[in-house]
Amino acid sequence: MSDQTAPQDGAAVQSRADRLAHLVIVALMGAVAVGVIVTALGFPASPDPNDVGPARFPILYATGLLGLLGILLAQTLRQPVAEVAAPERRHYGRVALGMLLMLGALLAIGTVGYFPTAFVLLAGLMALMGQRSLVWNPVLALAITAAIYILFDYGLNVPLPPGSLFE
Amino acid sequence: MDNLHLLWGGVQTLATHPTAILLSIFGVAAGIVIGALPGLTATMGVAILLPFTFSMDPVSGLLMISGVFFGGIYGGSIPAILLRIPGTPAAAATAIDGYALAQKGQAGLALGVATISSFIGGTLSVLILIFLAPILAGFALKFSASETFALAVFGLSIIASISGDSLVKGLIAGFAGLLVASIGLDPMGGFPRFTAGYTELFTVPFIPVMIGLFAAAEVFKSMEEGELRARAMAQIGRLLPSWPQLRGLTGTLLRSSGLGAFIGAIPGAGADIAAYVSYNEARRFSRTPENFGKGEIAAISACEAGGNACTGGALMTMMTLGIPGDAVTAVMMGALVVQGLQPGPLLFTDHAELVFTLLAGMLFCYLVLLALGLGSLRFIGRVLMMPRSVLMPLVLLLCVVGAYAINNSVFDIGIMLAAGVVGYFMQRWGFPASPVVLALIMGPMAEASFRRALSLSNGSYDFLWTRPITVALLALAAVTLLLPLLRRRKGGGPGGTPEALPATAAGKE
Repeated sequence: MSDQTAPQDGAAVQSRADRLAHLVIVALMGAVAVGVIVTALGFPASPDPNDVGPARFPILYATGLLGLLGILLAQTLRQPVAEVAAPERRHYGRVALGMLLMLGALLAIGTVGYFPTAFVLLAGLMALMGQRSLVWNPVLALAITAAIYILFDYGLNVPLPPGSLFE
Repeated sequence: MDNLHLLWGGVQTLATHPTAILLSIFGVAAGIVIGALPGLTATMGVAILLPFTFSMDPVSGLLMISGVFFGGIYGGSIPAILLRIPGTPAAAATAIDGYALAQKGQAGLALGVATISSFIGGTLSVLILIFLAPILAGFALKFSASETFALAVFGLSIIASISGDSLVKGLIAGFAGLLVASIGLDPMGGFPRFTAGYTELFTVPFIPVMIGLFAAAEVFKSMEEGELRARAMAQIGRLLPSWPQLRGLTGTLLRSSGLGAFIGAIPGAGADIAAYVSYNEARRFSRTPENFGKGEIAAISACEAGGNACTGGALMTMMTLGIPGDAVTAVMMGALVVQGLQPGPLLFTDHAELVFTLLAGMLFCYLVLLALGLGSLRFIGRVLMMPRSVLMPLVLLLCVVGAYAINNSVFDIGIMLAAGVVGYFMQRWGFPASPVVLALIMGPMAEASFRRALSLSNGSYDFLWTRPITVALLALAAVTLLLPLLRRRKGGGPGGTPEALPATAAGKE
């Protein structure tokens, strides 16, 4: 829920940002639902004449979703827009950087393997969240990386990715 | 009385079997750890430890596996309460009120109630397994595809109760979850749907999506907030509920245990469904339904008793009929076969002594769970004392490793990350995540059983209104779906905002 206004089903006021966000959500999800219907219409019919086929349920779900998005759109447009008090400071940049670090780890883990990826990811995320000690940051990152490696690889017999570079 | 004699004989045999006792304790401890680690489920724990039982005697091997099963189901509640990260799908419902209570500085009480409820639910379900196995299993055997479909619809109708402030947003999340659930091979013809050519998407990537929605999204959310929340989380408080509180939970415990054991006995329905249904029923019977979603101990008690009672129910169908109630019991069935025991009605006559030793051992496992659970809660609670700058990156790394460990696939990490990003934005704009999870569990079950029922009835839809159990379950689903709407019309409000709570609590700090 938006922190500023707590919009409810047509009850509370909303900020301009809330309104815009909801309109974008409706547009995006509506596009997905239409895409699902269009794709599903191309599915083959079931060889069993008594079966409804692979397309029926996705189309049913997508149609239901479109109907609900219509209701949300109506609620959003009906809800009054008002200026609201500035919310407490939020670190959205930190979230974006965290997501980027995760994306980097996802791209790297198959190539360089678990150990270097996890170490860099942990050190990076800890620095991002305030643990910036030049001593403790790498020590903790190394200790946690090693502990999880031992737990999974030896304790639970789940081999973690070695990385194609080292295979 | 015959069963009592056999059970007493089983207790005596177990008492002379120290290896089995030690392995039970190890199994429960390992299960709690596995359940508590995001991404590792009881199913995975049982599967991982199964090869270790090959060289053991049947009682030791099967009790260790049972211990992992029980501990795994319970263990999921610990991170659900402390971090709002359900360690297992079954704990997703516990996270709603458990985390809300933890946010009020009563994490210890939430954990204590969860432990006691898990113990009571699990113990009662094993007792049901011992005394009512033939009757309940016989009833569950009557469920055909149409009843399973109706059960799935009933499960989906619970979305209305867990939608929080906005029913529309909850339903949108549910329908989006149903769309995600339709990704993969068509359950009847095997036609690949929306897979974009990726074989990894042939089955619904349920666990990576769940880890992303609940765990990664929570970490991303925590990144945008200050440090105060971590200190508030660290207030564990007292562990044990007071006697009046415990006495007040009696009805919830008994009802949820019965529901859990019943649902567990139905093939295809597991602890996750039992937890959600128990939550819903506890709320329906509650005098203060408006407190649900805001840290109500009856909600935690219902989820945990229901989820853990499922174990006995699932074992009952597996042991007496040879039908696994869920994924864990399917793996456990393999453990029985490996030990030269064929699950089915003959198991109770041909190997009665062994079976009742196992059942006595299962009761012992739950005693161990109670002792280990309560004894280690303060220790586990210290996780919260870790600085958030260390804890949250650790959780995110566990998400990565847990998602990978399911299929040893980097692709699953990508799914988890995508779900985490989507989950973060869902939280940000008030779309609850629980309906997505519920839809992912129930969607494939609903579609597969509906289409099977339709095929069995030669294309006629009359199975929807000619089978009494189907009609009853569908009527119950309609009531569950419409009740929140009627309450809103009367101005009663939804009574709880499960998904919005963490953000709201953080906001208050």
